Amino acid sequence: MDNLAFIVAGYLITFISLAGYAFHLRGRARRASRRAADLSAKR
Amino acid sequence: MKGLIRPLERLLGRLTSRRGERWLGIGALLALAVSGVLSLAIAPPDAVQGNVQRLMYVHVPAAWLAYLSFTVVFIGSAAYLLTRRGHWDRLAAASAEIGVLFTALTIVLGSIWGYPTWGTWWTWDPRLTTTAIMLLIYAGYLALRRLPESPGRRATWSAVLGVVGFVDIPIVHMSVVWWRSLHQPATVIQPGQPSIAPIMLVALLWATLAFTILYAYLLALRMRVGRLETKVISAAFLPLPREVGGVPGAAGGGGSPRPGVPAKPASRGGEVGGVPGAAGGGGPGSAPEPSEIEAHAAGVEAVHG
Repeated sequence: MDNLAFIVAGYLITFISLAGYAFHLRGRARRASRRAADLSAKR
Repeated sequence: MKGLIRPLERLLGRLTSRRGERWLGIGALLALAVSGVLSLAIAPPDAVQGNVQRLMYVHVPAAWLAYLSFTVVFIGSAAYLLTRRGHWDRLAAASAEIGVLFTALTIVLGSIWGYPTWGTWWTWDPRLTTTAIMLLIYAGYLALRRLPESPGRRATWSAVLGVVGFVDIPIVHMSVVWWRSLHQPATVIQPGQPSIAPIMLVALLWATLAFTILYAYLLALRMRVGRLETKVISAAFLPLPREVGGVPGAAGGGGSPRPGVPAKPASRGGEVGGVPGAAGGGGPGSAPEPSEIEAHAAGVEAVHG
């Protein structure tokens, strides 16, 4: 396949950035959920 | 206009529920897997560009999704200005963040395709330049959302930028028609038949569908993050139970023992510590000024941002 390095780089960047963002959001949601539960347990 | 907002709110509620989010995630994974097979194995190489044209199956959907994201920012911003309901502001913020990611991807993927095809990573072509301006507008929008302002004022300013910034979207799309451009004109949305082979069109449309489902999943997830963080901020402003009784400073060091002295956060290293008396329950001595509450809200949001 010609220009294989460009194709691999393009698809890898797409996959890593989108999956990375999704995991980042899931982590953020988990942390916020834990904090909300902590705060409601205090009251 | 307001009659249109209610059904949109219902649709948004259904889409961003936990069950909706889970199904969207599964759907996005499956659709992306099929898209990978279609674009890398089934679609033939381009007669002129060869295999590097396969990058179009990610570059073009990313560009379309950037348009969609900023259209949603426009809708959310306009609806917020009309109704002043917080979830429209959260929708605009969520979509802007995802749109910036898709715009950055569009530029990077276009650049990777441009080097073997045009012989350069970047050129000041009208399409490329207007896309870079679009990225800057929405990066500025995200920066505006981090300003330590009162949440209401910040939402209003962001909504105004969300509406005004949308002007750039048709300019980006029409730039290849209005000005002499190195970038190729539209091949799918154009008068007459699409100038692309049917199997390549199927791969392109499927990739766009897969990216759209992924966008909906990311939006639902980001909206949930926004809801939870707002909940944490609101909870941080409620007085702790022992403070409600009107004994300022009695709640585990959270209140201020002296009138007029701002209280320390109650716990957790000030991360989301209570702002005693913020909801009017801490007695006159411990109630901070409104500006302090707003600054604290902005701080908390920045920490969790």
